[in-house]
Formats: sequence, C-alpha cells, structure tokens
Amino acid sequence: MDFQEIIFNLQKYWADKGCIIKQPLDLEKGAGTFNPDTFLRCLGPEPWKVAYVEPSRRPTDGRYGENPFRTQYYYQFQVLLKPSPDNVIDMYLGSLSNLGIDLKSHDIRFVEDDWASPTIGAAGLGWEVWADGMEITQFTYFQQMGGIPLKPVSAEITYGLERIALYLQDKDSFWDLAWTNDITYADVHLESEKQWSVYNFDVANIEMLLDLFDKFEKEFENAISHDLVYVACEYVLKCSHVFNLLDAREAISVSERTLYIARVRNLAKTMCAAYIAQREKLGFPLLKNK
Amino acid sequence: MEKKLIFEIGTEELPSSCLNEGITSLSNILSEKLAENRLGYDHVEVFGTPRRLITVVHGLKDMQDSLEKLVMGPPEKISYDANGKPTQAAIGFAKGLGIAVENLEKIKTDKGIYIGKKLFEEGKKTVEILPSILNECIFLIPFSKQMTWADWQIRFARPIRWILAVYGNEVLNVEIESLKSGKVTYGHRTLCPQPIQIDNSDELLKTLEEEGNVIVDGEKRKRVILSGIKAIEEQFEKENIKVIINEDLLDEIINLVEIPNVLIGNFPEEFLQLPRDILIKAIEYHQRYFAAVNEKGDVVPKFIVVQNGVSDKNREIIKGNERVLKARLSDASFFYSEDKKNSWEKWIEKLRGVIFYSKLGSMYDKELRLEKISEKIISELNNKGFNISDRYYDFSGRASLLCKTDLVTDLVVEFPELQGVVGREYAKERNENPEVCEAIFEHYLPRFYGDILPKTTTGTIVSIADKIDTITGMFLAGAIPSGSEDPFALRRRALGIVLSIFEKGYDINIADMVKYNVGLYEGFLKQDKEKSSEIIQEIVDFIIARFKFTFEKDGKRTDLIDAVTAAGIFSLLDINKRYEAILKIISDGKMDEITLPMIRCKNIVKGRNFTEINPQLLKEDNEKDLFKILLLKYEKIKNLNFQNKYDESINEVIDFRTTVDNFFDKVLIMDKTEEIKNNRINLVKKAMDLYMLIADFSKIYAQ
Repeated sequence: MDFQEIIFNLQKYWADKGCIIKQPLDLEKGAGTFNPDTFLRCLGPEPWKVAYVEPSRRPTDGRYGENPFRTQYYYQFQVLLKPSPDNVIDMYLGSLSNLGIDLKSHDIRFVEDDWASPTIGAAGLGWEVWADGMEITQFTYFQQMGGIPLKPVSAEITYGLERIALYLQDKDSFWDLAWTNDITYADVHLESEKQWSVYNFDVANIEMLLDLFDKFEKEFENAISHDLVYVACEYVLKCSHVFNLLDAREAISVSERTLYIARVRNLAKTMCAAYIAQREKLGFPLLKNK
Repeated sequence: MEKKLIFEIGTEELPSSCLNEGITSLSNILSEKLAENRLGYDHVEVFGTPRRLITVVHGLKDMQDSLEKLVMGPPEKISYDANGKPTQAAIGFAKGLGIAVENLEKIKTDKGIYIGKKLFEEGKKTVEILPSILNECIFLIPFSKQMTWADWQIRFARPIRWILAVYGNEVLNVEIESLKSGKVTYGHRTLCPQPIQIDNSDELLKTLEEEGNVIVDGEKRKRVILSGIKAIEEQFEKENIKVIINEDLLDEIINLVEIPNVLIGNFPEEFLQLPRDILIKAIEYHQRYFAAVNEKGDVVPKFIVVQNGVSDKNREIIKGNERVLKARLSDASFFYSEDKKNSWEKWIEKLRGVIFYSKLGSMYDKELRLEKISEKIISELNNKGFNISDRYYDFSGRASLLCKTDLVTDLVVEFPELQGVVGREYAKERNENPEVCEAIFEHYLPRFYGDILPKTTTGTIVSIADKIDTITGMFLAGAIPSGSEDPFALRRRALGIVLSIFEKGYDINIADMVKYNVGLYEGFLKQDKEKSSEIIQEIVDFIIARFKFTFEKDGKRTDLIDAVTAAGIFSLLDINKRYEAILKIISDGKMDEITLPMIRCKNIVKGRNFTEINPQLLKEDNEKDLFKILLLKYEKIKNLNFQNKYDESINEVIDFRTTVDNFFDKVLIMDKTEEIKNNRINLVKKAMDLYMLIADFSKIYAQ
C-alpha cells in the first residue's frame, strides 16, 4: 500500500467511525497533540471526534537524511475520541485490519508507555502499539492538559505513518518507501530533510530566535488579554517551536532549558483555563449534539 | 453446600507491574472480606494476564455462618430501681441495641449479675452478600498508577471492560458505573475476539485456555516459555547455544503475553563487535528479547522473541522483529564507534557543561564533591576500626571522577538505560582498575525498589556519597519531595543509603556527612548559617525516615528510633544497636524504671535556662549523692557506649532510679534561695542528660 493510500485509508476509516476529517494546522509543531483540535478540544465537557494528518517537526531528531528511521520532519495521523469509547481498542485494531494487517498471524502488542509533555503540562496513560516488534502507534488516555485534570477523558491515537508504511511495504528505510507507484519518500523529502538538518543544527540565527521567543511570549499576553484564545494558542505553539530550534542549536544550557519549559507551560496553562472559561460562557455548545 | 466462585475483571492491557500489584492485593483483600463476612471457604487463587485479573475461591459455602454473640450491659443493681423498674441505664442500653427493655436478660458473671442480651444473627445466602464484597474489592486494589477513562469516576490501572462473576452456575450481579457483570468472558485479543459464555464456575480456566487461547496462570506461561527456549536450545544443539535467562525480563514477559510463542531470529554478525554487556542490554531492553551465548560465553548473533499468540506466519513475525533489532543495533554500534574516537578528558570537559541542577553546578562539580565525600567516608570508617587500605582512597577518587562521564557519551545519550553499563565497559577498554570499573556501574545501585546493591567497597562508598550529595543538593535548592511528588527519586536514594549501610555494616554518621556535604556546596548557593543547620536537620530526618520506613515494614517500633535520634544519634547502625537494647528492656518489663524518673526530670527542666552545677552549693545528702553518682555514671556510660555495650549502659540508668527518686522525695527543689534553687535545677538537667546519652526515653510510648 502506497504512503498516500495509507492516509486515504485511515481518513475513510475514521470518517466512517464518525470523526470529522480535518487538515493539518498551518503552523510548525512537534506533534498532532499541539493542534488545537486536540490541545484545546480535549478540555472541558464537550464531545469531540476528529482525525487529521499532522506533519510534525522535531529539530533535534534531524540526521541529515542519513538515518533510515529518524527525521526532523515526519507525518503523524492523529485521532482524538472524546469521550474515549468503550470499544476504542477494537476500533483501533479494526483500522489496522483495514490497512491489510492480518491481526491473527502477526504479533500485535500493547506495551505500557505513559506519556507526559511538561512543556504543555500534559500527561496521559497508555501504550505504544507494536506490530512484530515495530512501534507503529502511540495510544494515550489523556489525564491532564495545561495542568487541568480532564473529564471526560479523551483517547488519543497517534499513528506513525512512515513506520506503518515500512511495515506494510516491507522496507528498511523511510527513504525507500513508495509514496506512489513511481515516487519515493526520498523523492519527496530527502533534499529538504538535509537542508533543514543543516539549518536546525548549524545555521539558524540564535539571536533572532531568542528575540522571537520573547516577542511571541509578549504577543501571547496581548492576545489573551483580549480573550483571543485561538490566537493565543498559536503563540504557544510558536514559542514551543522556537524553543525546539534553540535546543537543536544547543543555544540554551540545561538550567535555562528548565526555565524556558516553565515559560511555555505557563502560557499553556493560562490558555487552557481561558479556553474552558470561554466555552462555558458560550454554554458548551457541543453538549447539545450529544 | 460448597461451590466455586469465579470473579474476573476484564481490562485493557495492564502494565506488568500493575498486574503483579493486582494479583497480590486481590488475594489479600478478598480473603479478608470473606472472613469479615463469615463466609467459609477452602482457599483463594488469583491469576492474571495482561487483560484480566481472575480470582477463584474454592469450596465457598453457600450460606454465611450465623453469628451468636453476647452483649454485656451495666450491673443489675444499677439497672433496676428498688421497685424493679428499669433505670435510665437499662433503658439506654436497650435502646442502643434496638430492643425493648423487657427483652434484656440477666447474666451471671464472676463479678455479680449484669444485664445483657444474647444476639443471634442468622447467616444469609452467600449469593446475596457476594456482589457487594466483589464490588468493594475492585475499588480497594491499591495500584500505584491509576487512571480514569471516558466519563467514569472509578480509578483503575487501565480501563475495565467486562466483569464476570459466577458462583456455581449462578451469575452474580456486580455493577461498576454503567458496567454490569455477567457470565461472558473474552479470549485472546486477536485470536479469539468474540465473547465466550461461561455457564459454570468450573469451566472458566479450561474454556479460556482451549477456546480463548489464554493461559491464565502466570506460572504455566513461564513453563511454556522456558520449555520453548529449551526446545530452541536443542534445535541448535550443534552450536551449543545457551539462552541468557534474565529473570526480571522473564517475569515481565510473562505479564506481556496471554499465550506465549517462543521464536528465534538472527541479527547481522557485524554487531558482535559491540562489548558483550552493551550488546546484551541493547537486545534485552527496548524489545524484550533474550540474548544467547555459545559455550565460550560469547554472544551469538541470535535473539529470542516471545510472541503473544500462536501464528502460522512465524517467519513474517521473525522478520519484522529482525528489522527492528537491526535498526536498534545499528544505532548502538554507530554511537559506540563515535565514542571510540573520544577520551576521558574530552568527556570530562563536556561534563563541565552539563548542569547537575539549577544553582548546584555541573556534573563535573558533582564528581569533585563525590571524591571528597568518599574520602571522608573511608576515613570515618577507618577511625571506627574498619581497615580500608589507602589504595581505596585512589580507587574511590578515580571512580568519583569517572562515574558520570558516560552521561555525555553518544551511546548513553541515545540509550539512557545503558548508563553505568557503558561507563563500566569504557573503563575496562581504557584499562582502569577492575575495582574502579565495577564502582562506576555500581554507584547507581539500587536503581529501583528491590534492585541489587553495590558489592565492591568502592562501589558502595561512591554510591552512598552520590546519593547523599544528590539529596543534600536538592534540599539546598529547595527541590524537596512532598506527598507523592518526588521527581528526583530522593526517597529511593535515601533508602539506597540505608540499605547499603546495613548490607556492609558501614558505621557512617549521617549527620556528619550531610554537614560536610553542605559545606561542599558553599560557593554554589548562598547559605545563611542559621538556615543551613535547619536544612541539615531536615535532610537527616529525611534519610532517617526511610530507615524508619524499612523498620516499620519489618514490624518494628518507630517510636524507639525517634527516641534514639532525639538523643542526637545519627549512625544507622548505632541506632539499630540501641534499638535492640531498649527493646530488651521493654520485654523485661523494666521500661518504667527509666521513663518515670526521666519524665520527672524533664518536667522540672522544661523551658528553663541552665548553667554549670556549683558543687559548693549542694547542701543536702541526697543531692550530693545524686551529683556524685552522676559523675561516676557519666564516665561509665560514655565508656560502655563507645564499646557498643548498650545492654550494660542501660542497666546503669535503670540502677540510677533510686538515686533520682531519693533526690526528688527528700530534697525541695524550689528553695527560697534563688541560687540554691537554680543549682538544683541544673543538677536535674544533668541527670536528664545522663539518660540522653542513650536515648530520649520519654518519647517511647507506654504499652
């Protein structure tokens, strides 16, 4: 199955399960979790079912295109189900069958993996899902976001699209994956991967980044002071990405690192609380659909 | 009639540690509840797989035992007045029991006639009581990690998806929020996804295994895995392959599979160039594979994977796992070869840039402190008669300097779980003394509760030094654990100190070490003198608290530890010896001989100021006596304590009672002359201090 067919397949599958299919957020972010469709929607009492592809950036994971499994830019397929359905694991396994994985003759394993992101005050319990030893999905029951306990709890399913493709196409490297019949993953991404690795590790202008962080942080305050939660959310993401770039440039010492993480977390906390308050003021409109 | 009860909590995949917690506590909780509810049974068995906890109660009686008991009230004579009418005492008693006063009975006892009532509570049917007991059991399992899901209120290790409760052939009604129990179970997740009906409690285990592809008993899964491994060893008889059975790993794997299938795969030979321990760890850790060796003990390019299931496509499963392991090992060997190009000097230089903790300097600074603390530990031990030779100063110095360097190696940055192992291997490759190599690995021990402890002298000393240094530093920086929050695992570290000290019998004064350590942090943190003595006390109390924790777990009395530490004793071994001696006095029934006079002294001196005793001012015989005996006993007890002869020194204070009593009985402390009065108070204070040479006995609870 081609890389893009995997995406079509998952989109169709989850649409049939009642998810709205969204498109990626047009901002840099480290994971699908940062997309407001997860980040914000998991908060408060309103139900939400969504699935989307999320191109994710992790500057420190860049390897100049030389590592078969690791890149600074990759694709997640993110599903958020709120509240978590009772048969959520069966739904997930159904999506694997639908991709053509014969569950009976392979070793599908749920291996404990509790997840926490101190940067956004988030924590959850769950598993990494293995297919014959390969980690293909992160499965998490969110317990906390922005330091706020969540009720109802959402289930977050994050497929590693490249890894699933490796498995389905029986390949040993991302670069060899078939995007379509005649275009490989390398054709699409190898050159940009090399350039971004160089930029992230060696070129990015540190002074500019430090300055941007402060400015984005200030602009967050500006937005939140006008109750513009969605705008504020994007400034949290911008801060977080700038921090990741600074980290890749080794521009911040270990002790400063903790301080930067705390700064982003504070923004996230403020924003999450503001979002809930705002939805409450609106009377939690989506509760009516229940 | 006796029947079997089966109770299954069906869950999503439980972590291995939760499964163990669930099995142990379910068995205890249920046995306790059954006894409490007077339900007779033969025995309880608890089994578990990643997706279920199953309790089987064998020979459970179908009726609760009836309860017959006698409730005693007030004596007859105050229960009825002269006219034989019930008094308020009788009326109140009857009311308390919820019966009419006429129904009270007269009961003869040795002490005369009392009123009372024989109560009889008839046993109910077992099926009526069981549901609430089983329901309670679910809530009572104390998982160390819990979660909630959807809009459920209950917290459990992982979401509960079904409950099966069958007694004989009767379904019991247990309800958890929207989930109702029934007689339906589920087999293996992918091999038997459809529901299975269980009509009789005798069927469950057999049906699950035969239809559901689930081996419920962990012991049996273990046997299947071991015999699968053996079969593979036989298959490769010619090559003489032995699989390395890492017991911890095996225990974990048993909890990761419902039906094990043991397979063998290969990895490219080029990876054999990795050092043995690193290679084995890289095979075992992430992927939970077993490594294998040949007759010479060299690792062979094969690995054992235990699949969860039975498959007709073993080849594909093996291939998938081979791909993953190959990627892991190529990462490891890439980083290993990068590291080969580096030297200690370069790494140590890098360590200067790694912050230990905000405001506490770098990891390199930490290493320098470890060297000093280790030195102090050795010299203190030698002062106490340990014969640790001078070479160990060099060993511990070298180990201190090198023990953190592997943190900046590429291999550990990539595989953090290899920390310590990599350090040891790189030290071997660079021809360090074997004692130093081992200490580099051992200084991290114990890494978790129940882990092994350091064996070498140097490893033990550096390990203790490292843990004291981390705890002290974190306290100074204000990162003090509170409640369940302990992000730097300071409690585990403190426990590690306690366990190592007892393991080796190292008589280290914790307070001295911490104080010394605090001094070493000068220059990193501004410390004001007054506050730092408070913090030292807090740190010492924190470590002692772990000591008390282990004591308490052994069913020992923590008030005795408080008594000893209140006297300023901070060597754990010393505390332990004093503890034993005091315990002996308690069991001899002589504790009052010490506590009563001591408390008497304490009451007098409370809240007063003291000066030296002036012998010229001692007027009466009994106070002169007290003074004279005090001086004698001071010397004697100090001497005996020094020799650890606490049984004898305690006898000295027991023997002291008459002197103290005579003084209090015959001498008026509150003399009209201020000088004499104060002198007597000073004398009493001195007497109290005599007790304090051993312990603050006033902190011991009366039995």
